[in-house]
Amino acid sequence: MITPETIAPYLFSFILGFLCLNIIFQKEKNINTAVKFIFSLAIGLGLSASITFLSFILFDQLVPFFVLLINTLLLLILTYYNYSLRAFSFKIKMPGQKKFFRNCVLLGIFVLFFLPLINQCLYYAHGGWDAWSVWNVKAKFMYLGESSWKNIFKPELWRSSPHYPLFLPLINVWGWIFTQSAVYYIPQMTALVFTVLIAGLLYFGIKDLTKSPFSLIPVLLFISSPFVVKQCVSQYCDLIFGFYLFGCIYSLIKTKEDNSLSFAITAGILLGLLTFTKGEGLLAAGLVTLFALPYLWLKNPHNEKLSLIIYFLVSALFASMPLIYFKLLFAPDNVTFTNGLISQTHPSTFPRLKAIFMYYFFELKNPKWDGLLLLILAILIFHYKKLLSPRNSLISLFLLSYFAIITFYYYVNTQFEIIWWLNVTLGRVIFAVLPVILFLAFALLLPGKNK
Amino acid sequence: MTKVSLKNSPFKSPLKILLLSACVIVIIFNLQELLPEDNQVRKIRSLLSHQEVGQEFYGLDKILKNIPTIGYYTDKDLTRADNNARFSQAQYVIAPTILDINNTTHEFTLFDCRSENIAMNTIKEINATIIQKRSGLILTRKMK
Repeated sequence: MITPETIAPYLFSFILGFLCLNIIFQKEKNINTAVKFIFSLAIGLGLSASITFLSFILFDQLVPFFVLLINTLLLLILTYYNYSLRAFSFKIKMPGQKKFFRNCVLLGIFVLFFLPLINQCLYYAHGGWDAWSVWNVKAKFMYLGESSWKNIFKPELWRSSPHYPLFLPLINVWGWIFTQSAVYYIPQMTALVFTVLIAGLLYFGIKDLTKSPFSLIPVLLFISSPFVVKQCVSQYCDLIFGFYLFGCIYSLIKTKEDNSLSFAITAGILLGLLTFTKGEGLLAAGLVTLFALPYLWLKNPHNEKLSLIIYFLVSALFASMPLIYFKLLFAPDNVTFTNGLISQTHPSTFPRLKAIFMYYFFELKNPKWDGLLLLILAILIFHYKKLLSPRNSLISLFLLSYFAIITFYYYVNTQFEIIWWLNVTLGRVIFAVLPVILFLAFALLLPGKNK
Repeated sequence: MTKVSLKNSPFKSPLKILLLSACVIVIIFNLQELLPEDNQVRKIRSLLSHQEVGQEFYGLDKILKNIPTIGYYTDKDLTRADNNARFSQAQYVIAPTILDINNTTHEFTLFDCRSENIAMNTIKEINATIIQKRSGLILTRKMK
């Protein structure tokens, strides 16, 4: 699995993203080095996947030479800009002996907890059901299909949700350009990379805001949960969605707390990429934008608050271009939608709504979560007064409205029998927002710079 | 000596101590479930490096290269999870060729039936020639 060809696409994207962030954070040096590395890889993969998509838009098929050429040109341009702006002045502070020892212990615990996940990731090489039925099958069509790649939008393939955006398949296609065949270890690597990114951002994000030595606890809760491990190795897009949503919300909080234009741009880019992850990505991005505007504007004493909003929106619009092109040029209608409000044969009924709420209740104490959801709920209830504080309101309102809309969608779309549908999707819906929920819970629980 | 400040410590509040302890308990519960699963996977991995998906369809992708769509004829109940999984795995392996369910009008059709007799009857009906037959799967081609 670990070969130079497997690592090369991620390393290439990391350098691209790093050079981009160097320019974005050229004036403000307020980003934590580890967070910068995490965002570098995420933004770099977003750039490389978008360039790969450009090949499909321009040539109606994958042209590996074009993708590599544009990526390389961008790398050279960004290197030149970094050089001319002297953005390379990059400092890594060497920690003291005590701190170094503590960091080594933390890293050791982190690696130890990751071993079961790596083991399962290696064994379940093709991921879970939706990996081979939705995400990786699309990637194969795009990589091998030449000009007939658009067959993925045909109604015959309704099982693979033809209307879903293509971010995850494009990341894998980008990887396959390096391996020169559709090998299973690229989707495996993508899943592993995004799990590490989420775990890393959970630790460094919470540590950055709370300065608490207990910031490792949410990470351990996350990667020790057998259900979370299963989702992480499944190669589904929920993992990617979870990262970009979390990254965007963290960046928005940093935007306001540090009055940072650089973080506003970063939040916008991550939000734009979030829209291209899956169907819910656009919904989540819309809600985050809706709540981010008053969040950045209200109770903000700084004069630059309008600039923060403009930078955030413009960068989000720019990064949403792949989704806009996808919607305009390719996206078919959702063939798995039956409007129960007007359907005579499959109407939305009160028992359906009741079943949804009952299921939510039982999901909370579902043994697959090992009490994790109940624990988080307890933390939120005991800190309910702080849930609507300026910082936390962004996440609280987002989660509340997101689940309200998801519930409404479960109720209205009567295409599927509700218990079966909840059984196969609700755990994943919660998993996708779990990093954000953990972030909120531990920002409340751990004292420090709490606001 | 280093001064230890309790100002920002969660140990000031009994509630926070309780909640943090609950976190540690959940982590222990998690590990109690995760580690035996991990051991099981490790044992399997010593015999089989990784799980294969749709192995019975391997090789068909090479025969069907550049064919955009083929038929997939089955008398199995595709609403059942195992049959649906088998179909989706076939689609995954054969991609970028589309499997068109129970449409035998295409040049190529892949028969995946409960019994060979059912498949053979339909093959006769559509006047197709068998080009490959293995483990319950029959790939046919219609003469133009």
